[in-house]
Amino acid sequence: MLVALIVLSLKDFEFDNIRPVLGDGVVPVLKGIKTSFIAYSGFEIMLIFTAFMKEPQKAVKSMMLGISVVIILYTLVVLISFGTLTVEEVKTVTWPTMTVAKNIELPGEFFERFESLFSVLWVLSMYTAFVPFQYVASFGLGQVLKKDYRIFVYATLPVIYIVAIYPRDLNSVFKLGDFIGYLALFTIIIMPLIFWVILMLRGKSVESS
Amino acid sequence: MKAARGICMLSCMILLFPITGCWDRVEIEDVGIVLGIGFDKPSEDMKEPSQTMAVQPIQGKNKRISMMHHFAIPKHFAAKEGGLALNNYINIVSEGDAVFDNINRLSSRLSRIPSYEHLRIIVISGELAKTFDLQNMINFLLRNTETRRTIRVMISEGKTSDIFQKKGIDSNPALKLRGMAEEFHKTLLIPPLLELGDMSENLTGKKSFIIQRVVTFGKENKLAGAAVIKGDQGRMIGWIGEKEVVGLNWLKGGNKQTGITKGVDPKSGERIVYEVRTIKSTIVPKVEAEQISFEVNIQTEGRLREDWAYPGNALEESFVKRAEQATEVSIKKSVETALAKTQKEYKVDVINFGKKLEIKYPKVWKQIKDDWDTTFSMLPIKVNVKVKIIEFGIRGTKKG
Repeated sequence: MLVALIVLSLKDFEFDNIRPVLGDGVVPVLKGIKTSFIAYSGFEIMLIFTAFMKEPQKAVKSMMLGISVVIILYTLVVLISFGTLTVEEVKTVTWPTMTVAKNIELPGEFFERFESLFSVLWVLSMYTAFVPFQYVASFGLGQVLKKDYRIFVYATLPVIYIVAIYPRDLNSVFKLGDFIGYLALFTIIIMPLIFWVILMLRGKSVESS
Repeated sequence: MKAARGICMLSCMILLFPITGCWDRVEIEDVGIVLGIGFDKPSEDMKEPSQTMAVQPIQGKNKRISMMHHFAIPKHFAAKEGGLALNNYINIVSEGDAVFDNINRLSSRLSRIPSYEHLRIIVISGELAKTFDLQNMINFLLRNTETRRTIRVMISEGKTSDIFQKKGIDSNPALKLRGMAEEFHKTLLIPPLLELGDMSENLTGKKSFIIQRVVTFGKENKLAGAAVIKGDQGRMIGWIGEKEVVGLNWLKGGNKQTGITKGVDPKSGERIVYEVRTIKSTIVPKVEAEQISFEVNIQTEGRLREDWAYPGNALEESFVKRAEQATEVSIKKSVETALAKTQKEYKVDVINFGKKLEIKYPKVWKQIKDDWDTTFSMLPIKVNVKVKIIEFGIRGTKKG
């Protein structure tokens, strides 16, 4: 999907818009790490799925592969957005990628409104991204409360719905998004660290049992 | 267990109701398809009856804008060769404090909901573009999810409602304007088309740019010259004519533009017509001892299409060389005319020399970018032109 977006946008792409490259040096780029981190959150699901793998040793390899595909795609999307919209314009629009999709127009006006197709498939892919999380949440609840996880698949639905409609306006949606991003930071870095420390403390007893 | 599952299923189904689709369904008969929008200064002769002026305008009279909606009448689109000379459009002029105010007011005058999904073209009158910040003007359209960023934008010399009445050989005036905008591929006399998105990008980046100008005369309208928009003010500051536009097109290059250039044969003093096939223009910024200068190299390839010189033997290499030189001189002259007008008179950088400087010398750019237009007006620009005639058609000479 994103590849189609990239290919179709190439017509509008102006190389000059992304230049000068590193005009202000490397420091501003490093500052961007913090915000772009949120975009990559989601791979923490692997921390749980590794437990179900037949060959957990290969987890790291496949995860790296997955992440690098995402990195390449995201970078291309960012470059395309800058190239077609200019850096200044990207700052002003609410949904830059969507705006890029809206910009697409093939000659003769026979192909327009790419964004409707784009948003349909976007929702589909969002769904596949969301399902494993719901599974993991129900599974975790089931284990903690010692019940069948299938109950929690249904039980979590109202909670998800309420959280989803909780933000009253667009800006609070963005705030919630940021918050979830930082939460991901917590689950990716701090939680495993705590577990690791606990494991170290209990290490011997686990081994012996 | 069973009961729990049943309750869960039921609650899920109930939850589905708030998110059902089709709630914003609109029947096609209830939609008024807007093909074009015109922005004007409010005029005295058009007065919409309002409720005894109980509602005071938010701002002074001079801040109000007038809008023209060009609605399509789908029924009349279908009746093509029936012989009935029915207009397939209706122009509705309104007046209000803001763009959306105008549109909102339409609801009191129409039985249909205006839809901007098929908007083809926006025309802004020059008078209005001179007094309003264009960024505010197009703000509503950019926020609106219905309007596309690929809508063409033009500036008109007269009232936009006149522009939207000349349909020429097309079926509809708005479609004609849209088609005309594309014609820049075939002639150098008009500037490249401007999309709403590009316009917004230029305005947010505070870059100066030009917009195609449309004028009416008699029963026709035509694209003639361009409006110059000063980026940091977001306003139009003046017009340029066809001559200057040709020069700017040469400077810009690379727009898949073709067209012709007339030169004068140095030997016989007769006309030589050169048809452009490709233009490649490279702008090289130079910074030497604090002094910024630009060098523009224009390379072009094309055909010799017409010559008035006798015997005009293109089979001879010397004549082709002379024709090339003649064209070079003429191109250089038109580029200089264009620069004299835009750089010296209007003091704007419509070709985006600034970006080239930024790419090559980001540090220098940082110091001068705030007052770039003024700085630019004083910089020397050297123009080199290289013309290559690659063919001369199926007849080389007039002399047997």
